[in-house]
Amino acid sequence: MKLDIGGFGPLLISRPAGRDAALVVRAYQRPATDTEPIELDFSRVQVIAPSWLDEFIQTLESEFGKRVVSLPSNIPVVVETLRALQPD
Amino acid sequence: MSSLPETLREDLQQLIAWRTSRQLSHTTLVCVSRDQLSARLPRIATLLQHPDAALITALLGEIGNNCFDHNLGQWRGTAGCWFAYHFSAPHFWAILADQGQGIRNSLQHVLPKNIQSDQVALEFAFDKRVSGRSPEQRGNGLKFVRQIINCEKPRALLCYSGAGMVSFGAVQAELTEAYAQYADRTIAIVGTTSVLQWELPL
Repeated sequence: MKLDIGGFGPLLISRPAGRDAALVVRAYQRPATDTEPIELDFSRVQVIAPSWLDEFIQTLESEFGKRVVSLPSNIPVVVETLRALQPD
Repeated sequence: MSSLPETLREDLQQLIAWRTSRQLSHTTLVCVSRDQLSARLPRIATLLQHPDAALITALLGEIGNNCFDHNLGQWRGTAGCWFAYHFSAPHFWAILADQGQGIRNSLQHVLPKNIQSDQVALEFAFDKRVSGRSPEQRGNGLKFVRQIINCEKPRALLCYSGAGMVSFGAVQAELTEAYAQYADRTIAIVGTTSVLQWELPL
């Protein structure tokens, strides 16, 4: 299942907003099976920050585990956000 | 010698007044809620009309949201995030400030042995993946800020909290000197103040 992250809005910044977006996914955009990956598609993202994405991923992983996968992107703000979420 | 634009210097005077009066001395520059900050941030892209606008907006969003993430119910003065910015091509400046508990207090209860001063607390906050909001697993926002600023491009960030101060970026000396002409360190005795300078490539 592919999730269009840009569809959550033009400004994806705060932790509360990231958690809220993930709760919407858990309610309305559930994967069809227990094994289907959840792919995060950043191609339409305008502005995103690590706080939003970290909260979004953590909230999804609390239910779906490591099936949540970030697709590669060459959008600078997405690249920097994904880099900040990598372990040190 | 570098200098800040006249409009930003005027805003700095208002920031000082806001800090000392503990009142909303200039309400249009104070976001009293996260929603107000989120409503103002998109105007930066409209103002700049530049590919770097997304990175700048994300960076300011991270710093601005920290005001609320770590200070709700912990304000030492007026609640909210003081936010001003100016653009005079090719330079963009922004100031974010709060009257919150400051970075040292925010971290003290999670790492008491490591935090011995405002300066150590500030350096630790930008160097490590750590957050005062234990037990939540957080703390990558300032890492994001540091990695964007720390490059060979002409960018700089100053951050003051209590008696501590850290600076990053290729033009940090220039910005520190310019800022010091108009505001001394006491501007951040209560809470935190961050100052950004970003030169937009033509």
